[in-house]
Amino acid sequence: MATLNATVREDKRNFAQLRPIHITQDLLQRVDGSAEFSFGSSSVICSIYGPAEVKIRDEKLDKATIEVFVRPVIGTPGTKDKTDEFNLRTTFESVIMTGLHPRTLIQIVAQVKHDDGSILATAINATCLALIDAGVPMKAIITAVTCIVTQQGDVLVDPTSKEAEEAVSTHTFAFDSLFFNAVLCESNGIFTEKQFLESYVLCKSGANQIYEKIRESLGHKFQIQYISKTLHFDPSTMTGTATTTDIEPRQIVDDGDQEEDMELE
Amino acid sequence: MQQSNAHRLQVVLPGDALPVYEHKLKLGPGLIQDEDQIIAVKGGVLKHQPAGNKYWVESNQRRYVAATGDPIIGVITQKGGEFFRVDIGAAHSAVLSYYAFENATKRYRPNHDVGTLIYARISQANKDMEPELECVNPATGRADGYGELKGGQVAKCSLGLARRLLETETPILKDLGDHIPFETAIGLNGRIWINADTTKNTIVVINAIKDSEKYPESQSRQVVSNHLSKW
Repeated sequence: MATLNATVREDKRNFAQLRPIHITQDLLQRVDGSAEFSFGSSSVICSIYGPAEVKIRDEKLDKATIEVFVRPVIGTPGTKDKTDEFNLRTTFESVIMTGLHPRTLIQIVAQVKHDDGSILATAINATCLALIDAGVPMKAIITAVTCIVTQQGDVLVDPTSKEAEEAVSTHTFAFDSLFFNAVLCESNGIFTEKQFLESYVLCKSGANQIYEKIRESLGHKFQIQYISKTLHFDPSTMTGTATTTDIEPRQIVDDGDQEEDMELE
Repeated sequence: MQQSNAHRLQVVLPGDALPVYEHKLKLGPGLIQDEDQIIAVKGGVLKHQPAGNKYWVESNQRRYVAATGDPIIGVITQKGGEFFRVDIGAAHSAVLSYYAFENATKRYRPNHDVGTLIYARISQANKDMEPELECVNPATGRADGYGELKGGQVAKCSLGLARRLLETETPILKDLGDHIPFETAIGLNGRIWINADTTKNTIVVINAIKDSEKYPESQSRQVVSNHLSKW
């Protein structure tokens, strides 16, 4: 590897750059909530079923049971998928308010659509979006990013499968949206403390970017949905007159984005 | 960004703390109190009603969670010694006492078979208990429209659409009624029951109502005429 290209990767990203993020919500008709999240060509569709009836065997008297299935692109789930299921479950058990729906089941099915690295992080982000779509009560939003340490000792954020194959160590971190604390840390391989901390910092800023992106797109979605239902709304001009008295229509369009920003502070 | 904020359209996502500092307020769906903060636990649009100082998150979902006072459409799945068991589309089935009907006494019991459609009100909902239903207004002893739904057809829809259909300003039911006479019952559990003079008309009405969710209310007349012209 020439040192000249040290800051540019094969797909022309720099070391700390995520692949383009793509978000779709509510794409499946027959489940209670669904979402698709992609990092470039890595993509996971997640569906949520619940709070629904639970088998007596799995019933918990004081909280909801969370069941997670990860389905690979081809074939039946293997060891890696089982590990991802475990990580997804522990991550979201900490954030879903299971106490609000005791003796019920919340089923999460993450179907990998295309595997090009960072699948655990993609699945966590997809699951979070699907849970919001399903209206499952959560204490915070969770976003996740994977990074690798290369043989040269560089830290690359959001690796493709090709990059991940040559990695010395792989780290996945998930952060909550309240204090940006790590709620999941999954590391594989041999690494130094310095490399680990560097990975942590880079993943954290990546997770923050994803959070902003989710805020932006969901905020837009909720507003459009809400405005078009309650006001005489013409999507082409984005203006309208209110039919209900407690809404001031001008401010809806103008102040929406500002308020989202304020929320972040 | 204090109180005036609440009157505008504000989008909240799970984990957001609300900029609300009053002492007396009522929290509705999607909001909880965490120590001295009000936290949103669902994504949606924050709404405020000055009367009673009520706050809630307006969102749309498909899975019903029982709440006291909601009118719902259920299907009888089991007959017990004292009550019917009714599927209401929530995580748990609800119970409907034999005495929660108009004119019911110990001697005169309502006779409904398994599979009967019931329009009822949730009289009690608690996360730790099975929801309880009633088909009678306990204050007057009258049915007030609740009870068995005979004939017609049931369709599923999102909870948001069901909620809007129950609001008087929503034009789609009225616009359909101008062309086709029909009876309707709307359950907040995302089930709508329609009974028109012919099967064909029932289907047209159901399709138009379901379709109306995709369009703004101002286009409801257009939705109706589209569906009428298809037949």
